[in-house]
Amino acid sequence: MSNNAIPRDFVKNVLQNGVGRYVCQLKRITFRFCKSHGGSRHMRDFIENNLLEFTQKNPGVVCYLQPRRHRPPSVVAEFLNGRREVMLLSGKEVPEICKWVEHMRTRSGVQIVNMIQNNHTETPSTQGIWHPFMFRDSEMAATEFPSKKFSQIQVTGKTATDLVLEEQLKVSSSESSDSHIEGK
Amino acid sequence: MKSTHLADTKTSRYLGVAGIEEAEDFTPLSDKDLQTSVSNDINTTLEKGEMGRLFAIVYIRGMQYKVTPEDIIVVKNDFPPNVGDKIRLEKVMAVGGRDFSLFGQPLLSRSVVKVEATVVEKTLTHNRVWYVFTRKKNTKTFHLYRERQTMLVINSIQVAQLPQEEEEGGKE
Amino acid sequence: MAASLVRTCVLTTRRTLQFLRPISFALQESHDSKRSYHRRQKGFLREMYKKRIDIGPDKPRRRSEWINWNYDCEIFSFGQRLGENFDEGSLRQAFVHRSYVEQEKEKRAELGIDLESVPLELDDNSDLANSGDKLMKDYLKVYLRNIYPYMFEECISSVCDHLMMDETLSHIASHLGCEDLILCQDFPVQPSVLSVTFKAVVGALEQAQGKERAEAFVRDFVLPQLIGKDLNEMWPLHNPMGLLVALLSLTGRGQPEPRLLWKSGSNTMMSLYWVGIYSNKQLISKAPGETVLIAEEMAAREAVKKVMRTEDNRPPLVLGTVAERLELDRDRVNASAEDIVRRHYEQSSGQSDSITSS
Repeated sequence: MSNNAIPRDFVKNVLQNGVGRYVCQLKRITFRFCKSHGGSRHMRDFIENNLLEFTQKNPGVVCYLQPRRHRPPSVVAEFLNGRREVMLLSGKEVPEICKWVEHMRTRSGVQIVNMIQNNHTETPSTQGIWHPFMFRDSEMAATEFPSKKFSQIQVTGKTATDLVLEEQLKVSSSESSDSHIEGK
Repeated sequence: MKSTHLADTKTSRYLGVAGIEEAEDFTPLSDKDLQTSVSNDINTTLEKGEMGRLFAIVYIRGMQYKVTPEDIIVVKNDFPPNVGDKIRLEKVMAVGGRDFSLFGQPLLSRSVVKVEATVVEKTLTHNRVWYVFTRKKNTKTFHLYRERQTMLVINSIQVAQLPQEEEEGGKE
Repeated sequence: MAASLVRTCVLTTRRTLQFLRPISFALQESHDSKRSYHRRQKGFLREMYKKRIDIGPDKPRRRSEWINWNYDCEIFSFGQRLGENFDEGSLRQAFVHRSYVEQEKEKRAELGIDLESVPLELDDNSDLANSGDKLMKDYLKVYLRNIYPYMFEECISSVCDHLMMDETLSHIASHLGCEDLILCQDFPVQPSVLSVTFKAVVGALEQAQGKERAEAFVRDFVLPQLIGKDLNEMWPLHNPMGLLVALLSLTGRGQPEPRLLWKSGSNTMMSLYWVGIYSNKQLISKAPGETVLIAEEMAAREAVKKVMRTEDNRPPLVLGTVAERLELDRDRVNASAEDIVRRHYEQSSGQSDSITSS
């Protein structure tokens, strides 16, 4: 697949979360498993040992258990922005299930795509954005070109010619003094 | 004092400026009077509340971010704070307002700047491909991997009054 | 030819499938890892596909129609999620829309139940919504007046109106999870119903925890909607130069004089003019534009922005933990632009009268 076919997006903050107060974006989580099949064994273990702790820590997340006969275990996460994500957890052991549930809890619910930038700002500049007229004299608007004033070369220091001439002067003066000594 | 704006000198060269400027020693620490006058100016701006929207350059895990309140930044790989935690970003390299900028050497003092942030999201990146192929050697690797990411929202940037015997470099 | 026909068929099929996918539950949830099917299934699958197309997409259904739904748990979690202790009764009432009560009454009438002997103990949220609406409007105005002390009263009320719009409030309400909890007749839930519910939730919070807490709720969820929006755009100012003239004359400064600062590409489609406005030979503001007139108007707007101190690099809103220490002056009233213009005209007409009489 070519690179530009992969969806990409900017970083997003759902409902400016965290600017006022932080709200956990996971609103509902459903654990689906089979009561009898071996495939759901680890999920059943998770529900028995770890789920109560999760619910106590996160009273804002509604947890549902949905037994389904002879179906693989999965987790359905529903987020505040209206998105719903299904994750298959067949073959995953208890620590891994814990990690995926924690992953769902800490997410914002925005679809995971490649990121264009690692930051996002609404106000890119405080001191003003540069534009071609920023350091230009406004007197230019009223003058007719070609003008003598604005066509002149501004000399701010010594030019290369000045430096060469200086060097020449130095050399010539030293030469003359040498010849003077020789002459003596 | 000559303008030290890089863009200014560059454009002016194009516009027919000739000559070699003598390099001016621009280290505010060398000039005590300049130092005090600049920090006085900044202090009066802060007192009047005319600093506008403040921005700062913060250093997190080897990356520098230019932030201003209400921004989101992404910190890559492992980052210990959990979601909902309010943290203070300690390493502030520079801070600026409408008409002043303060640069640290390399960091600004903790008593001068305070940048606060909230962790809003901890997630994984999109699948990334790690593919290596060596021809004629029957060597090929194809891996898909995902990295950890943490999103921070900047809550506030605060600048205190500068002490008169300021050690950091100040520039206006 | 045949190959191209097959390709078109496949493409159209894919497209229709994509159209069905978000709606059809069965298709979305298939965890089938099969990549192909046997050729004897072909006819059957095609028939099923045609039937699917004939029936059309699934009807949108309420979240409460699914098996994993417990309204009590949802109500409890709603408060916990937002970090507020709601009174359960009033929170339940906040989610009951008037249309739902009417629907229930109709149902009972159809079934022949006498409403007087078996009263319907169900109150709608209109009272709560009214109190919430009042609290929100008051608090938003007080907050904006204190944060932007130089902003004109007209601008403040238009920013407040923007925040109290159905679109803004329904966006907030749906992102706080109100959409699933609302009891109303229409589905999908209308933005107006969502906004009424959000106001009712604020009203319920005021009832349960007092005014201060409800105001903190409004500050944390409604005011962040202003981030990244242009406040000056929300106020339709038709004659910025007229307002600027009035402002300058009342403060005793010289009349505004627009001057061309720079121009570029004036005979092309991409012409650019920068106009600056001077008063007493001091540059007040400058702005670019495609024509001189546009640039002049933009410069006047820029000057009004400077007067209101709502330039693009204004300080950010005070929100979050810092805002808890805010001391708001509740009786504060800002200057009104209309008042300023009226005073200017009265003054100038008074002067002209005195000139004519003398």
